Amino acid sequence: MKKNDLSVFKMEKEGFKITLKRNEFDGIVPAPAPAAPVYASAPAQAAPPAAASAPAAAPKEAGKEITSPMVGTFYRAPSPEAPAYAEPGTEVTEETVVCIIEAMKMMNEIKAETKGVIAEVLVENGTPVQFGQALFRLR
Amino acid sequence: MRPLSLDARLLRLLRENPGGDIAEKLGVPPESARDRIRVLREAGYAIEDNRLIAAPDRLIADDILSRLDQPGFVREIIVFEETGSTNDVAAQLGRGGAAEGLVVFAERQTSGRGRLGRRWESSAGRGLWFSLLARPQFSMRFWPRLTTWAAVAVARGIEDSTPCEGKIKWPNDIYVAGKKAAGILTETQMDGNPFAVAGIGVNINQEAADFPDSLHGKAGSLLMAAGRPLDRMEIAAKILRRLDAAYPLIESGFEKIVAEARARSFLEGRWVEIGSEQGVVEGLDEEGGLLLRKPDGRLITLRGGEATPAGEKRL
Repeated sequence: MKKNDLSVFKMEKEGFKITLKRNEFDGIVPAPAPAAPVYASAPAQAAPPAAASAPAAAPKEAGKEITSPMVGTFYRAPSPEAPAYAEPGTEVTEETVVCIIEAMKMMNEIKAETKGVIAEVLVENGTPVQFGQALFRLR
Repeated sequence: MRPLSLDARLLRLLRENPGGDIAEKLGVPPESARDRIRVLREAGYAIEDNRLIAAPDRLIADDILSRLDQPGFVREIIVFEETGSTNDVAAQLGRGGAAEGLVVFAERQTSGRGRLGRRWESSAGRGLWFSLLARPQFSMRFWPRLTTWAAVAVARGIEDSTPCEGKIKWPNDIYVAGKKAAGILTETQMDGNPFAVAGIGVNINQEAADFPDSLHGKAGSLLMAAGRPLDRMEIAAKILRRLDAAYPLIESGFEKIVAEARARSFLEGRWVEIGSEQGVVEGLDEEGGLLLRKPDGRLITLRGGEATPAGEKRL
């Protein structure tokens, strides 16, 4: 790296506020991340507007169900070709991704947030879900 | 409040309050000011008589920061010459605990992508490819509002900095002169320290021939609409200023953002097909969802799907 380069100066002085060149960020940049979720058939069902307009916390589970944190479209897999995240019998932990909810083109990976075993998938792939709607039943 | 670096303060001074004793204005020794001006010149800036004449056609974090007000949503800017996808980098930094307000730019993305895993053409140095890291403090239920926030800011930022008019094709694409010129892909991670990454791509200085055949007639650039090359760094700064200004409204005052989105709607009043639904677009609901009047007269709200306008067919 050239001594007078703007980016080098910043790296010395400021840490983050820098112009980085390829490979100068190796310690942080991950290996290529998984591809974006792919949805071949566009979901297009009516989803009634959220009832309340004031921010409110999503109801927390008592361990029996996994619920949707928002109004959106439910997807069981990251792409139509991919296997579902969770099937009946799948063991889940707090960190296990169980589905994707898409809302306003925002892709939200939903985690189980509890330990258990999936007993039943309550929603059909590609269909609309409401805020707080149960998605999975656990046993 | 982010402290501006010496270079950012210097650039702001050269732009807004030029001439005179720059070192004194900055409160640094004269040799420091001279040294930084030399470094800026080497980076491509034209500076005469302590006055900024021209900036290079290259994204420089300090320069963009120097054009923003403080405090705002944007707190840190990182510029890569090249990266796979700025969304992936921002998400990785988010998982590592990076604070809200981080913005990751890349001059070139090797695997820029849009929704549906589609490739997003991210030619080197011709557009803006960047991602914002947000950690909203309100319920995730309302996080999808971020899409509309970003779309309006991109459209307004384009209008602030170019002769172009930005139309929003609900909910996440920006059309200029009838062609898609910008897009937004938002992704979230919802666990212990949840965050959202909003990736924004803006086609600026591409010529029609720069787009692959498959995008001909569909994708456009601001250059193609304006008829001349445009200042990428200025457009970046204007979009970030709009994002800064509107961020608090996402939680409180979202109806103002929705009104801006509706005023720029590419689909308003048009007959569209979205999956199995079709009808005439009649505005947006309070969360930015699309209101569609079906042939049977029912009004439904859509929060997802790919809208395909079918000419001007009316009910």
